Amino acid sequence: MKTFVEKHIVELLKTGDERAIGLLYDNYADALYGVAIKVTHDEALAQDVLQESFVKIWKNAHKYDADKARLFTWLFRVVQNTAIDKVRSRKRKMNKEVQTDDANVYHLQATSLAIEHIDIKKHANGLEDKYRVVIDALFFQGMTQQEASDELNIPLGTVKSRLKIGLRELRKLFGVLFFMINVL
Amino acid sequence: MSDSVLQFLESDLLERYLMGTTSPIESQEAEHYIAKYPEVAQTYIELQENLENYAASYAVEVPQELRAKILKETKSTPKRALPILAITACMVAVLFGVVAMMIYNQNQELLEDRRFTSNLLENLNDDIVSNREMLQSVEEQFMILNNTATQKYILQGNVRAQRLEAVAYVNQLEKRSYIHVNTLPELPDEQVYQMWASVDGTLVPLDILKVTKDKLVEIPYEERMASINITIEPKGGSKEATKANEVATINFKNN
Repeated sequence: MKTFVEKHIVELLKTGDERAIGLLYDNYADALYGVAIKVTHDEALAQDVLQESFVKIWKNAHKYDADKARLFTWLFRVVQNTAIDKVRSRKRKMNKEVQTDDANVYHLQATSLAIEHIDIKKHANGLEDKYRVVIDALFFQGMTQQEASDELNIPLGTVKSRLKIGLRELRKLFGVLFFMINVL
Repeated sequence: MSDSVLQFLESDLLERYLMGTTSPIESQEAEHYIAKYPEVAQTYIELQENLENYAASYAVEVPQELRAKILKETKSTPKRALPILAITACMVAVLFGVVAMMIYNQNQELLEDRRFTSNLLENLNDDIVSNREMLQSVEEQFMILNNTATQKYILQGNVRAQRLEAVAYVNQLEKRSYIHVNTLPELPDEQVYQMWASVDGTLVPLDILKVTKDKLVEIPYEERMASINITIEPKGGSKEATKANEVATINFKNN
């Protein structure tokens, strides 16, 4: 369900009203910064990603179609793609400089996924690791399902089913959470 | 829930669409299902909410100084003019261009048709004039032939032109004369049959004689014409008749 704030921001974006950026920042910056950090594992780089993403969002606001995706979904994709591009660009640069044969774009990320698990906030803790690893790889690392299968060393079919079940589990977990928030 | 919807939801297309990793065709398929089936649309909404909540669970407070930096950066970036206006303007311009081109082509075709029709009309007018003249001529001939004052003369060739057959009509009151040549013996290419009018004992040159089939040909009428003589002359005709080559003669009555 779209919130009043989301609708208001979308209207401001459509009319090119600069107040949209301030509202976008105040409502989504922390979550988007978290996404950028999850992808880059580098706060400085994540800040660059966030800055670049906001410029892209502002410049391409006309491309946003509220009928196709919620505002956060679109913002998430912009930040995720910008972050992945940054990481790949940095990796290419490092590969050129070091020329190591075993350099792998996702190797460091996959390893770091396990470390990141401990940061998951309380309401997402209920999600089993096996699902979270898959969701993180697909959502935050920009891997395709085949790449996740190769990187996590699990069959492609299992990646698909864990993504589906994991998202279903999240629906249950967040459903309970929002029910509690509403009750309180 | 239909089988196709179940099958769609069982596939991972919706999840991949959520992550923006679908091909354009897959995106179209996903959008089709979302638009058509409420249960798919509801699942898609829930997936998006989960993504937002899941991402929010990783939220990290952004350093204070970044807000001002980002606001400054975006404000210094010129906002693209609403492309919808530009696109609309382009489409309208293209549409006008296409319509103008169509009207121009249509106009050219109409002008061409008009030229063609005009020529056709001109030709028809010429035909009408020509037919009217022909009708007038035929009427005149008819009047002459039916006139009691018209004399009919049958012309036959002599030994040198036995197959020559012609009929002459002379109306002295109207001062008109016609000839109808039915057959003419063939001559070498360098020779022709020429008509002469005998006036006061002198042969006055008339036309070259040709087969006229079913048509009457008017020949110049000469006052005091005593006869019409036909001779064989060199090609192009002569100014003076070659009496030795005379092949037929018609002597007129009352002259």
